[in-house]
Amino acid sequence: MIKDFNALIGWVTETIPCNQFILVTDCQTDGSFAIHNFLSTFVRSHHKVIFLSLGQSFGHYNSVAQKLGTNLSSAKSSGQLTHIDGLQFSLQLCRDSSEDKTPGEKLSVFTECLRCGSLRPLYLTIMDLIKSQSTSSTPSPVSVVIDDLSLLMSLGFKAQAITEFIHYCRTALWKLSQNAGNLVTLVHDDADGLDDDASHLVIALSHQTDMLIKVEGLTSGFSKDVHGQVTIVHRGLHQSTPGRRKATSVHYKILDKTVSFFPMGTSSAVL
Amino acid sequence: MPSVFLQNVKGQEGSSFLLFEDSRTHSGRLLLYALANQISERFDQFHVFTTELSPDETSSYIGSEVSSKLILHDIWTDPLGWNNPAEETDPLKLNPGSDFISRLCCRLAPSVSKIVVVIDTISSFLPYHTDSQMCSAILSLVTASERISDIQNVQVLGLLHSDLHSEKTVKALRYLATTQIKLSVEDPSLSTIRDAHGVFEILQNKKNGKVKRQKEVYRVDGNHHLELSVYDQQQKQENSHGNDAQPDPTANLTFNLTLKESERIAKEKVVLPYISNKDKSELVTPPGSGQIFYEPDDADDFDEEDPDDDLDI
Repeated sequence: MIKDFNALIGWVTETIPCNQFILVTDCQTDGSFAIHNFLSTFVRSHHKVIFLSLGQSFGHYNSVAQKLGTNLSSAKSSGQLTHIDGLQFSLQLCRDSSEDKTPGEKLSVFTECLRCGSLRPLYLTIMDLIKSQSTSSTPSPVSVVIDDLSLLMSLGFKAQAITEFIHYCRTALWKLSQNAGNLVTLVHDDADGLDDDASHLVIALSHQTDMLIKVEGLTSGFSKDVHGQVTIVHRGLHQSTPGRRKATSVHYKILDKTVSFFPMGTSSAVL
Repeated sequence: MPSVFLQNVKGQEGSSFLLFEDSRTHSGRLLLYALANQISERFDQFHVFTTELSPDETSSYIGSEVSSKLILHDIWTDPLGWNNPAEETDPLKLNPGSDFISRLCCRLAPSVSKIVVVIDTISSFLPYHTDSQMCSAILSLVTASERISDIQNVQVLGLLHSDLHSEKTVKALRYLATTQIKLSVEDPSLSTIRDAHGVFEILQNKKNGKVKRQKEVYRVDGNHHLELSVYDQQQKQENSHGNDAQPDPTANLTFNLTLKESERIAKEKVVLPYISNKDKSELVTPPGSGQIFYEPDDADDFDEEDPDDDLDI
């Protein structure tokens, strides 16, 4: 699957492109297969990975990665992958707000974030990790993966605060210059138009991204042979050759261990 | 018809504000910088306020001819002062009216009279300001020549992601603009026009009160050189070109679809089995058996090629 997916987004060489902000949006379907793919790709390409997971436990990502043939646990124990467990955040929030708190006890990162109304404390945490990763003896690109940003909205942050946070994550990576890896995030784009703040986040981030991966359910309804459609949009100066299609769309089907991609309308169930 | 846009770039004297409105499907940055490069050639300084692209990426949009005139105001690296909490400056939270100007003046070389200012993007400032604060900040830039004696001409080019803001905000900025450039919402890569980066609509407010409106097509080559043409002409060319290239489906058939004159006469002579032919029917039909014959009357428009012709399907 990793090879197929990387060919789809135009990563065909051994050394993958760096210093890109990649945004995955999903609409009426689950786009997390792209996150799993990027995690495995970065670990295999010997990037240092900083992984903030808000959606699932580490065990979940590890078992999916194992199906893809990558061992996240060993990457974590060897220090190649640093995992920030976002699932703990909501628990910490509950604890911090409880009465029986000793004065002077350190507040969790998230309570600090909510107190100041911005995600700066979380950014500083990631910034410190990026710094410590980049100063190690063997310089290799540092990539940041965040799954998923929409949960930050559920935890009480405004779209503007999240946009600022992503902006600073980009600047932090850029400052590494030679060792800059990629920033990959997932955000849900449920295009019902009811939540203005959520759609504002998607639009604001799509303006900044270098590569937009749109995962959508089929408009014609659910099908057991075609799970949805992926559209890859390359943005930025170096991709803008006139006459060349910048956007490519394919259908996909998620199988047990892989995801198969095929041109639209050529599902084996149709042909 | 000459291009309105080109005239605007080449012959404009006096300060102006060009507003580029783009959307997430069609980024206006390529057009913005290509035009800014072109204007800067005859200007003294080229100021860029960058908030969405890193300084490296911004430089890649700048042509080599004008790079010596470039003065980059980097608001990208630390827009909210998160990295240096000790300093009290939040660059994105500009003081309305004065900050663009003061940043500009800090780096103004002596004897500079004509400057180009690119704001990439206005959208980054808007969440921290009211519409009127932002408008007055831009207006003070455009009218800088009135307050700073050296400056004669300021061209301000601003990029706005119009799908991010309310209609009210966009309208306020439009009101300020001498020229509005609205990039088409359609994804340029899906466009039917070959060798073009995209289509935009230009709306120009003349000093005498006239408003000019036109749709144009742009293309930017590798040296950041901008090529423009009027949209309608190009469309027509494409269409006529398309007609010429239409392949003839009957060209390489193994069978014959058309009739020669002799074949047509032979075909007309054939008597169809359901048409009454008295001589024939007497010979063939045994007495007592029933048969249906079709006898067309005068009003009948009988066409054997299309028997359902009268059904109006």
